[in-house]
Amino acid sequence: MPTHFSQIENSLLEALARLAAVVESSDDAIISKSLDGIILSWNNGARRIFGYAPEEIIGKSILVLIPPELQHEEPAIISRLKKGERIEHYETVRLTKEGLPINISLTVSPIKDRNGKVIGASKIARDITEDKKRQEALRESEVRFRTMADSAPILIWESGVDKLCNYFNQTWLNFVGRTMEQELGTGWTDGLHPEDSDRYRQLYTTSLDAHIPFEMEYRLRHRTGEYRWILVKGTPRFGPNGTFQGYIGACVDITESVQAKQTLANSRKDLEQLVSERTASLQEAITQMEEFSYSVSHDLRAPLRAMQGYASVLLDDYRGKVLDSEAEEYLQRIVTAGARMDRLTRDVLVYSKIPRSKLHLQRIALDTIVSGIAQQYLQIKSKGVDISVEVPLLPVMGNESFLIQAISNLVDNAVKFTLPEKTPQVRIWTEPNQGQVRLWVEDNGIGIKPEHQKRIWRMFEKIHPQTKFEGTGIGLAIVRKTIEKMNGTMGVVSDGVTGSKFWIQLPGS
Amino acid sequence: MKMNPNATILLVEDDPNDVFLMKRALKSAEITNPLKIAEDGQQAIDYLSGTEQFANRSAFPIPSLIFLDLKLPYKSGFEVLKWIRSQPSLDSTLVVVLTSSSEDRDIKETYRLGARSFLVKPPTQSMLSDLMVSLKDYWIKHNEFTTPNQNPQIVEK
Repeated sequence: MPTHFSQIENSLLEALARLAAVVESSDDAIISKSLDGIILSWNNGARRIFGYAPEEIIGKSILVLIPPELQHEEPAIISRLKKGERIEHYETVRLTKEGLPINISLTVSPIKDRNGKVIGASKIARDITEDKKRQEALRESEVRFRTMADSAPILIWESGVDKLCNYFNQTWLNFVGRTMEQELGTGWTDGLHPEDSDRYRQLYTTSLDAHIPFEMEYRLRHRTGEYRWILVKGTPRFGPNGTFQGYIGACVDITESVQAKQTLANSRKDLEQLVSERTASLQEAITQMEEFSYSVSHDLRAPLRAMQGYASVLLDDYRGKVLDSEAEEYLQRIVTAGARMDRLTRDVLVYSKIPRSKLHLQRIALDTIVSGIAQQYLQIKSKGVDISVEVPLLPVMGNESFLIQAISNLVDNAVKFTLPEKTPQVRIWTEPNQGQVRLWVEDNGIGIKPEHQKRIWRMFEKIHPQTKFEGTGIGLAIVRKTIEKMNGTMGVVSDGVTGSKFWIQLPGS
Repeated sequence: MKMNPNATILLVEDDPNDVFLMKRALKSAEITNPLKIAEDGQQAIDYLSGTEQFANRSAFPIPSLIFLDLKLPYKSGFEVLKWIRSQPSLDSTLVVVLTSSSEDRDIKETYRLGARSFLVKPPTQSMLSDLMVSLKDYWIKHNEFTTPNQNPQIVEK
């Protein structure tokens, strides 16, 4: 049997050694004491927390660790222990060897003898000073954020995973003029505008289910009873380990900007209305204008034809019979004036039609157009005219009938404004210019003095007397209108003595 | 065959001045065909259908060539054109629109309604005579004509 005992003894000793090692290596202070408060054991953790070495403290009363104002705690603890109760995680303050207070969490358990009688206590003390500091800091930061939230000029709410609101800042409460209790949970939805309520709930629910941010404009009842426009931005909150915790919403009163937007939209609508009214009356004016020019071209020209026709009939039938040379000259003047009036009417009509023409821009081979104009010219005006075209001409983007109008007017002018004793010489060529094509029409005529060069492009501007050079004063206005309509430019180079060089410039093709 | 020198020309023109000047121009171009006048659109239709004062076909034969003004009283030149087009028996009659101005919309409408030529009344008498000379060269001397049916079946419109 002794062997047996020693075996038991050995295993007991091993168990004790293991326990002692556990106690020694613990970070917590593990202290045992008798019921009269005398310290019986003191581990390394106790030494580190309180500063006493075991030899300094063992045999002394536990009261040395307790601050004077808390000395009453000890009898209370002892009396509870005697009843066999455990004291768990009791947070209190104790003193270190240096006399500094530290926050500790106490767990005290009774030690009983074989008969169950309480003979002492084991006490585990955890230093929670750091925990306390952290808690303080947390509380402070929360207070700071609450203060921030309450003083911010935006409305803030917070909701939990259950979608119920659990916080509203003071700004919100001031805005709606209600108490936190009224607003909590779903109470705040009382303030939603009936027309926005469904829209809001739907977006709120779907966003919260998906844990995604949301944003919307809705109307919320102000404490004055007036609904005001609110822009809300809801952001999901996640814990440190990524778990969804709810939402934070920030709201801004955007009533003014919504109203401004509505005013803007209204005035835009008014403006559109006005524009369409104006367009209609403009369209009417254009139609009237078209009717007018149609009637000009038909009805005003008929009497002209008659005047001219009868004058030339008189000339044909009675020349050298009853007419003397003076009468003949008068009749000739009627014919000439009639012809001029007719050309004037036609030119004005051409000019007035340009802005209304539907324009189809395409690649135009200037070679064909210019040679056509030159040939036609030489056929009609039989007097000695020398037109030379330097082929090939570069193609342009333009409109054929507009180009014919413009170029034939330029050629016409080039021939027209030449002194009678000179043979008109016209030279036409193209050159590339800044990515576009410039067509030149050069003549050997009387030229245009620089001070007149601006005026010539205007309607009815004439810088020479009618008796010297015939013309309606519309030709260059037609050139300008047609070229501008084709997104082109034009100009003239002349010293007013040795002829003119007119140019038109259009996008190349 | 070429146009018969006796084939009738119908001038639809309301302006007596233009009628007078046209007559002179035809004369100076030596177009000697008989010329009949209708003074408005309704008269032109009456003439072609042989009704009212134009009932006598031998006095008012179906023309081979019609000069048609567009701006006419009662019925416009376009209405006359439309009517002519609705008469299959007048298919062989040439219509030349002779009007004051070259409005694009008029030209388009003219050709759409089947006229063969669109001429702008020239501003001077000599130019009108020249125009008639070239017309004679082209339409009367060179163009092939069929003799118009003098008893056309007029379709009621």
